[in-house]
Amino acid sequence: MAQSQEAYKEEFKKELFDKLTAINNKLNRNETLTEEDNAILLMSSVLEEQG
Amino acid sequence: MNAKVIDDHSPETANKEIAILQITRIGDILQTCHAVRLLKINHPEYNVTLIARKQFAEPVKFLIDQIFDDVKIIDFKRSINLADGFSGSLKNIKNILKDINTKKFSASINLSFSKSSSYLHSMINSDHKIGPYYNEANHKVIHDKWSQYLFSSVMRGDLNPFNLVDLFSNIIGVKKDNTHLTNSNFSKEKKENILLHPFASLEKKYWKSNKWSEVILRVLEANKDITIHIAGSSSDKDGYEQIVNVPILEKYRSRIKPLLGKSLSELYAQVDNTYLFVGHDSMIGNLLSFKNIKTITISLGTVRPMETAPYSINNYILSPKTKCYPCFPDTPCEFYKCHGDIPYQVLQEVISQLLISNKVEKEQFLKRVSPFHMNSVNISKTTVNKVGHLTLSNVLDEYQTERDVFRDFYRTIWSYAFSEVDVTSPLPNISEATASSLSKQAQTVVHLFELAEFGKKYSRYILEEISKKAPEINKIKDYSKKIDEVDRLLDVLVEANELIAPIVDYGVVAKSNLSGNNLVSLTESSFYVYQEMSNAASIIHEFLTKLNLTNTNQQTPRKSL
Repeated sequence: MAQSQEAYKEEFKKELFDKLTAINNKLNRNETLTEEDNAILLMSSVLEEQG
Repeated sequence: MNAKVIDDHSPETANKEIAILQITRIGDILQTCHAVRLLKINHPEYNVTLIARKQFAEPVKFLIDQIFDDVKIIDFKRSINLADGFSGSLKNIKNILKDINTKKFSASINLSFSKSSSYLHSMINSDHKIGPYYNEANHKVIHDKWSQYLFSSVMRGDLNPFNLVDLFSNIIGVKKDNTHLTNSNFSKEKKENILLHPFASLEKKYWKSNKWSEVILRVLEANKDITIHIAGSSSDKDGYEQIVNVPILEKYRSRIKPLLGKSLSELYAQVDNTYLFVGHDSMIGNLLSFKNIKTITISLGTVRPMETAPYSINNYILSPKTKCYPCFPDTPCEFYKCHGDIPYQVLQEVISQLLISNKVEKEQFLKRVSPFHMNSVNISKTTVNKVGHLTLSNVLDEYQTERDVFRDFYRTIWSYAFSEVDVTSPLPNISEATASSLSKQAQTVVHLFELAEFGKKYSRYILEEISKKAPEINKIKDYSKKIDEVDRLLDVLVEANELIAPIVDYGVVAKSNLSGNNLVSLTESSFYVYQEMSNAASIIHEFLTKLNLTNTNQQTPRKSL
């Protein structure tokens, strides 16, 4: 059970990391962020604040 | 209160929708409630929606519902979770935003100043955004001056002269013709109960248990009819036991009642006009300010009394005169000297006087408390000035410090610069030593003025060069380098002279939020920032001159006024 929790957590982190990397690449190319991009950034900042 | 009555339905007077974003803690929500209460009194035509986090809003929802027209509660913990996974969590976030955006807001105002609040703010549909948000290039932007000021000053030092409620009101743009601050007391003259909250969020901010045990003993000994109720959360049980289960309080146990784990609505309902509140800086004091309960706040550690004083008049604050007070959460400290600088004897006397008469009389205080105990503590009372700002006045009419004097200067400067509101302060009551120290500041202020003028000069040179038929890029680059040099010199000036930090800090934030999207408009707004800094320096110099503190040849500093 604990192992599957850990696996879910790792999967979540990986997806978030991949999305944030894609957003960062967009910003480097001076592209405009979408609503979804901003929602992901919001999610990331909330998780960061929660530690 | 004399609210304006709106009796026609033209577009100018149609109900305006405002969203207030406050996703930080309960204390901030309570201060926001006070600010919106002021807004609704002075501008009843506005419909105001609060956007807040569930864990902080729910405990005070009973109060929020009285003040706001609508509330959007966000449960981030439930929305972002492993069970729903990344895609599910993202969908939940989008649903939250969809719900918030069912209304079209005329203005959204972010009073939270956190990264997450700035992202949330950028996704709210509103015609105008006040406070921080992220723009399309993912840069944090703060357009309005009061928010820029709040970001620059409150986050760094204790030279801010405004209570947070007044700052929030200024950000919102409340025209304070009317205020709910009142001299009327809810607490009876002779009280039967003390509500004590001896806990706080950080160890730096509250006394050790033995000191509270001593206070409780003295108060119960001297006041035979008083019952002390100790409030706290369920997790404060150990702290409660440490305070109460001591031999010296053995015979007074029946007069000490625990109120641990009660909801805030229950506590609020229970506290009536037979109560005096005594506690450290916490949201309970702020909560009870809505009922105008008489309070004593013991401010320690990181607490800045002016900013977080409960927003009502004629309440009392004890703060230490310790040199390092107030500090920051991450400032290392082993001894908590500020804790010892407020003797329990001072608190005991303040409590005694308030239990009986709702006020602290200076003469009686001086008779009954030794000067030895009073040397290291400030006793302040909350008052209101002519423009409706909460202020602190020294109960014992002691001399003001350099920092007190500069705070008064800044209250006048920022109120006029950002809101064109004239705030007058009485002439400061200062000692010879403070006068001498202030006279040395005059030279610093002159340097600040000169640097700001250089900033203006090179900004103007850039504009002049751009306006030529064939502008030289190298010249523009050189002038930009000069401006960078000015900014570096300003940083050096602040290192040595902390009292002028608010002006330079504000300049830094304002310059990082310049309006315009081309070199001309950016340079113009840079010019205006230096203009504001130059004006601020000039005003301080004028104040010091009026106090006869700018004569560098003067051998003896001016005596106290």
